[in-house]
Amino acid sequence: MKVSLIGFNKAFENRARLGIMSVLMVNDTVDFTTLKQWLELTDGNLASHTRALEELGYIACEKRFVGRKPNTTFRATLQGREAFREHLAALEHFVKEQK
Amino acid sequence: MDNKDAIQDLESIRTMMERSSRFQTINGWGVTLVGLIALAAAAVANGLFYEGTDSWFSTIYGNTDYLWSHKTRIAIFGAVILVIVCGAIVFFTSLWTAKKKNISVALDPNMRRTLFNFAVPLLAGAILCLALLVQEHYGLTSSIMLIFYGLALINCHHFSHRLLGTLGYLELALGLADCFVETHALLFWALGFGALHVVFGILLIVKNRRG
Repeated sequence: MKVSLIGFNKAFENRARLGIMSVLMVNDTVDFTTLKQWLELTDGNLASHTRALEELGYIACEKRFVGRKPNTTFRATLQGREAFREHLAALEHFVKEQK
Repeated sequence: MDNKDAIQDLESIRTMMERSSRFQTINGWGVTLVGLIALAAAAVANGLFYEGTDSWFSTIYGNTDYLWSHKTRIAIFGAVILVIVCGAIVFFTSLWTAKKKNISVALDPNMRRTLFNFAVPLLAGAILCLALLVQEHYGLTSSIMLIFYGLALINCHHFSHRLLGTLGYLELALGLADCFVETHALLFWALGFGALHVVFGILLIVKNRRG
C-alpha cells in the first residue's frame, strides 16, 4: 500500500526532538536542566538535539549566567511552532487514513 | 513510518505535553491523613464546645459568649497549628512521591506555579477570616474558609492534578451552601475539610496505582 508522506517533517522523526518540541509548545520558556529531566536525556544527547533544532530555526536559545552558573533557556520560534503543527496534523491524518 | 509508529509518536507528544504542564506528584496517603486529622479535630472541637448538650454539630457561632473566652483562643490557636501541620504533611509526602519517581521537585516550574496560584486566594481568604474574627462577625467563618479553599484549588488545578479542580468545585459548593445555613458550621467544616479529603485522597491513591 502506498501512502503519501507529504507533511511529515524529517526534523521530528527522532523521539527526543519530538519531545523537545512538545514541551516547548506548552511552555513559553524551559531551561536546560528541566528539559533534560522531563525528557530523561543525558546532557550531551539533549545538547545535540537542541543544537540541531536551533540550526533549523525551530527553537531559539538564550544563554546567560545565574551567579556563576551558566543557564540556557529554550523557546519555540514561530517557524518551529508552525512546522510542529503541520507535522502533528500530518500524523493525525495518517493515523485516520489507516483505520 | 507505519501506523504503529505514528500512534506512538502521537502518544509521546501527549505524554510530554502533559508531563511538562502539570505537577502530578501529589501523595494520596498524605491527603487522606489530612482528612482523618480534620475529622478528629472536628470531633474534639465538638466535644469542647458542646459539653452536656445532645446537639452534635449543631451551632458553634450561635452562642457568642464563648468567643474570645479561654477555650476559643485555644481552639483558634489549635486550628492554625493544625493547618500548618496539614500543609506540611501534604508537602512532604508529595516530595517523597517525587523522589520515588525520580523527579526533582525543586526544579519543577509547575510545582512553583501550583503553589503560587494556590497560595494567593488562600491568603486572601485567611486575611478576610482574621478581619471578621477581629471585628466579631463569626457567622460566616466556616463558609468563607471553604469558599476560598475551593477557589484556591480551582485556581491551581491547571498546573496540577485534574482532580484538584473537582475537589475545588465541591468545596466551593459546600461553602456556598453553608452561607445559607446559620447553624451546623462544624458539620460543614468536617464535611469539607475531613470527608472530602479522605475521599479525594483515596481516589488519588487508586489513580496513582493505575499510573
